[in-house]
Amino acid sequence: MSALQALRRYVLIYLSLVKASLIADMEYRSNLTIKIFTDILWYLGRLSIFEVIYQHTSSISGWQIQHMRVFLGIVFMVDALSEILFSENLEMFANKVVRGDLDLLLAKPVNSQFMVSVQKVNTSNFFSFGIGFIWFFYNFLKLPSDLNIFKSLWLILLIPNGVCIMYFYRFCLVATSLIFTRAENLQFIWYSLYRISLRPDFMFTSWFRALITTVFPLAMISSIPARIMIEPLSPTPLLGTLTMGPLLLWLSSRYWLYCLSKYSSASS
Amino acid sequence: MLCTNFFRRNLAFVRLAVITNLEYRLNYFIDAVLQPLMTAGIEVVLWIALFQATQSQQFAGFSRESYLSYALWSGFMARVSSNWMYEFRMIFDIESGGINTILTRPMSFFEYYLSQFLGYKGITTVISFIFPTLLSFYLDLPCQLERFPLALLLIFYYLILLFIFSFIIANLAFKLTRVGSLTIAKNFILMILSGELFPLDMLPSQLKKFMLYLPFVNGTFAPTAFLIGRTDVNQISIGFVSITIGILCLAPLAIYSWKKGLTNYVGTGA
Repeated sequence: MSALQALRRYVLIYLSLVKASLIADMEYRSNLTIKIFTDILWYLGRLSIFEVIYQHTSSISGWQIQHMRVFLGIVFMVDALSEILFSENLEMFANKVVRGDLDLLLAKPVNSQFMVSVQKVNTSNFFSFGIGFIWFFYNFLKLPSDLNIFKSLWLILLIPNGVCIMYFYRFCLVATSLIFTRAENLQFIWYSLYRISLRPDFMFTSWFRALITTVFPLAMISSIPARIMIEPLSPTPLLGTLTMGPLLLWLSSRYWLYCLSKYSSASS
Repeated sequence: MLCTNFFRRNLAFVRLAVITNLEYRLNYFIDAVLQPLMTAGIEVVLWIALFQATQSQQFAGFSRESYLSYALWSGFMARVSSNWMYEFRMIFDIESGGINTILTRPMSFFEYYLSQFLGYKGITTVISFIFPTLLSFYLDLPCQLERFPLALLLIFYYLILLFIFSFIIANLAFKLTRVGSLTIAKNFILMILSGELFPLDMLPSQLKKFMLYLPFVNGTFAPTAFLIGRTDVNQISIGFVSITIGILCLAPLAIYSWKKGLTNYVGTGA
């Protein structure tokens, strides 16, 4: 099978998964509505932190509230895409291991990592992505400088790249439950780590900033893309960020194979 | 006799919660220690950088040390004063019909989960609060340990209110079946209202006044601020009163939703 045929096959499978997920979500409409409401609440929570902080200062390291709102727009878009694609699946992963549901997925004639990661599509987050998109452009256009609107086209690459980085961390943490059997709380580590990417990297001390832009590239999820949008374009962070996503995606597949080699089957 | 049975039964539920949670130690360690420690660490780093970036000695009237102490303690307080696991379990029991095993035994669904919830929070408090205490001493951050028992009492009183809230949400599963998203929504709202995201005394004065009278501040802000000396005992008194009012308001709703739910329930899951 050629690469193009394989790609077409996976796109068709994914479309079927979207359809099945939409049907499943529409069955419980009140739950779907509350999910959308919850996402809005989450965004409001994130916004409130900076809105409150900026009540007491006009600028943090040269960034004003408007810059922060642009940054949050990127945070919202990356977050919504990750929710659509894999969040729900990875949250349920540890349960699949314990109950033995993973064995069924492993027996299917498709890439097991693909099935484990994207089987359930979180359809309510299409709406959240729309909110993030509008929020970003509304605030981006209000920035008080001579910005080039075409620079925002880089987001077509930068946002999926941020999603890939996020996926790597979440996936590797949950895949570890294959080794420890019962370790669903491992994903909580991600929620702590995620707090780092919810803040611009310049807000952290220099050593920590160096850490999150190199060894643990959490700043490349939203912070560096936001700086690329706001500050003059520099090739180094742009290329660094665009390389990191595919690299981590590949590493995640290697780690998955390693964890599978330690897996001792259902309810083990 | 009735009272002894009640006490013994609930003590067994508390033990059950402790044993179940400590069975997988790595899992529990992540939940009770690692995750709040990481959250607190990240918040501490953030506040250090924020003070550096703004080059000020004070922020909204409080010193750098006060914010660092708040960041450190609030992560742990918030972990203790939230309910995810037991609320999801209650919902799942109702959704799946697992509740049948509880309904047919001489105990109530409410006490079965309340005692487990309090037992789990008790052991989590004992284990996890060692870390912020040690770090407060090591980093020389403001922390008045003599205030700790009262702060803890407030949290555990708040947990009863929180559990009633969870119980009402779980009861909605009798009618709506899927209510997991309501748990997430509730917890996000509480995250904002409790002061987990930022100290509530940073808010504009009118809004702050309003927020501090709500019972939800007793989950994180009130006990943390009291412990580190940002507020006085007056806020704690307000806390006890507001929680009592909250319980009095929610209890009838809880009883009604339970009775209504059981009437609708057909015994094979919602």
